Amino acid sequence: MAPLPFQFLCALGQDGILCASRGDSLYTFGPDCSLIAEHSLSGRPAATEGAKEEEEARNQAAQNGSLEATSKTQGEEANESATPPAKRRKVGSEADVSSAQPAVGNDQAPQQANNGGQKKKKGEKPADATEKSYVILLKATSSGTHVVAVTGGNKVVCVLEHDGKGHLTELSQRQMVKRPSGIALTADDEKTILVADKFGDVYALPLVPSAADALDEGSAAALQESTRLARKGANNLTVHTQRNLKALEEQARQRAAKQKQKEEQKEAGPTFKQDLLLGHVSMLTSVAVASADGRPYILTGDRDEHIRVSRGIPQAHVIENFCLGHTSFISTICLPQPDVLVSGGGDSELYVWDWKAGVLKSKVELLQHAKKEANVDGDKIAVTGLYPYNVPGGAGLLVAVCERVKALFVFKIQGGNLTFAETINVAGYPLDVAFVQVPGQPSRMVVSLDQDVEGPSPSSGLYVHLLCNEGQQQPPVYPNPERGRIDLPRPEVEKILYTIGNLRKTEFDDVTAGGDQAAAGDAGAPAPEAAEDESGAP
Amino acid sequence: MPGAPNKKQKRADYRLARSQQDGATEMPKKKFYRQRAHANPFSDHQLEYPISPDHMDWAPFFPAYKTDPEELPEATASNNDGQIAQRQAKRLRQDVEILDIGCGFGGLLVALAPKLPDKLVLGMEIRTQVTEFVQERIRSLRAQHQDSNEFQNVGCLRANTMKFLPNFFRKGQLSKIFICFPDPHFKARKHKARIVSTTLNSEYAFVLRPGGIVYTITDVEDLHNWMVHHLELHPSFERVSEAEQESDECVKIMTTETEEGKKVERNKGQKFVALFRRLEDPPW
Repeated sequence: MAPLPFQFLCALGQDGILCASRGDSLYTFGPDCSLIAEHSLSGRPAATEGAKEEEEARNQAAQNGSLEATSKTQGEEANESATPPAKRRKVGSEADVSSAQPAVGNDQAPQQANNGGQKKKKGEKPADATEKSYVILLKATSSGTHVVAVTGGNKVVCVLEHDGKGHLTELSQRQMVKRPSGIALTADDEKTILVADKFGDVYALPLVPSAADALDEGSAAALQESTRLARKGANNLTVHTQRNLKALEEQARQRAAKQKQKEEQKEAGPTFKQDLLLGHVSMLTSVAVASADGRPYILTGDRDEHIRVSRGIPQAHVIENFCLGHTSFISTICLPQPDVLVSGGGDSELYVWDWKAGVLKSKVELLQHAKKEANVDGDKIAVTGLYPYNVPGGAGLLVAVCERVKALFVFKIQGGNLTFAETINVAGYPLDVAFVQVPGQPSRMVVSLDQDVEGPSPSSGLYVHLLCNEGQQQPPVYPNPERGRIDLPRPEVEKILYTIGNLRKTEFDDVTAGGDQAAAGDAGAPAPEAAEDESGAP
Repeated sequence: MPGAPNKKQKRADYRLARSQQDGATEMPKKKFYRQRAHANPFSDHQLEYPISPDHMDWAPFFPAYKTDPEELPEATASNNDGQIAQRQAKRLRQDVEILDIGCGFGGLLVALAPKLPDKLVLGMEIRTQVTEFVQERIRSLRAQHQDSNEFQNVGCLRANTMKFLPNFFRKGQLSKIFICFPDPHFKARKHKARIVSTTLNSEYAFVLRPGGIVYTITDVEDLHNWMVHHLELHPSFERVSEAEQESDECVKIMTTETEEGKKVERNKGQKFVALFRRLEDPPW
């Protein structure tokens, strides 16, 4: 059993408050590094009806001790009938997560977790840890007034209000149809959240839904109805074979039955406002906002090596250009300066773009530094994060983090040029970076580390590096709160923390015969026979 | 699977025989190239695609339009300059302007090419076998028409256009896009796999120049309604009037010359045609 480390970090405002996520909880720390509050995203009464249903299902599962309770909630059902339905998959029960009950005392937590482990064995079906409702994305407004957290298993976008002193109040929970993979806040006072999802679409959600945005169920359903077409399907003039005709009849029968069913249980669409802005046919991995000449733009990076530059709202349908040049997936994009875009992913370099023109300005080597200064074997790295920071009165910094590399790579940006500055070796695998400004003290670069330890660790795994530390101060230490601690088998922890490397495409051998290629391609997965054929060949 | 290795062997033999006879004027036989009519556009496939339009080497597809290497500046030792020179070397005398997405067995391509002799026509098809058939078909046609130099302006390559269209074409490069008898994907959960969708239309708008036209035809009324709905909904497109549609020569070719079109005709089915014009982008 290994404790789940703090994963995502963000600074709240300019007063030295840090927000960190661990499992499904958010923790806030003050300027003196003391824990201010812990907020469990799953333990609270849910805001939306769908989530409430899920909560009930979860509780029931806890009572029965059964893992078979699926999370097919009413909300999801409604979504299924209204929009192209989501993949039907079983979400592991949250019952065994001790943090689901925030009332559990500190000393009981490890025991609870152990129970969870036993239950899992009994159920013979280990719940997939990645499917749990852990935080997968975290972002705060620049003023620190709001925090947006996305939880994975239930695809919920949570918005929390921050009082400026480290206390969070949950404002809304909105369940998306597809799992979000990137979030950004628009430049217009950050009133809109852009949510990029695994299906390749970007939705705009108001940060704080106004009364006008909140659609009551009736009008939501009406909206769905109006945007949908009368479905006719194929008719008997379009199909050619006897079997097709039979299938057609069967379809018609099913449709009639469905129609009847639908009338019986009035359908409800999404109960909140969400606008589809744009979409790729590839999995989106990152989204950023930019502006040029006073106009907003949306930049999206996907797994198929594209960075798309679209106009901002309300003309997000217009693509300005593409930044093409990556040869492997893109996992993260950022704008350290308004006119400079830096992207990273499965390639061994960072790419620096003039995004407005769609021109690659330079590539900056990263793999060689990782090999030389961070003991990386192999020829592949996956950049998981790029964190820009403008040192007051100094040059811009950009910190790059790679998956399973125990180092931070620091670059300097000056006049649109990116140059390597230094490697900072750290005691664990860095997961996320946040820059915390503390009044009257040097700014802190806080890094969440996966220390890969067995059993409880006294350290929080929050590494602090002081910037512009002229007085040679000792970096402060963040505590490791017991409350809400989650212990999981190490492989599960890794599954939760390391998801970027999996984006790499399987590399096929070009020798494979054409016919096999086609078969493999059509099946949507490499055909095992094809591989065998190849090994049999001389 | 009894029979399968035999079939594979036959196909391999047939291809080998074809590759050995240079300048084959005999048309390829479809039966050696058939492939299941559906492909998953979301899967990774084993695709070859250029990093960007500038990296695309069109010369193998349109050899007659290759630029003369002597016209180009000498490649210098510097890597950067070398790249630029290489880029120019890959340029054709003119760009591809007409695209058939999902060209199938190439009926439309072959019918369009002689009608638009001064334009380069390209077909893109996701199925390897079918792409090979079209390439062989073009090779034969070129060999048959060596004197008239016909069919030099038509090419075909394997690609997943839904994912990689911007890798092949620059902004505003195309003047016509044909989407003929696409996979209808009846199931609601497969709708994102349809070739026309609100979000994908933005990419068509990107590669199409203002005034350019998207041609759609299908025998499935539901899909027709879907395509019309989504293209009309997109602010970058407007539907072309019926009268103009009737007078467009390409519409006639599209209706009668595509393989699917002929099949629908044989079965006395219906065909639904809709054309959409790319509008100028609104001021920004």
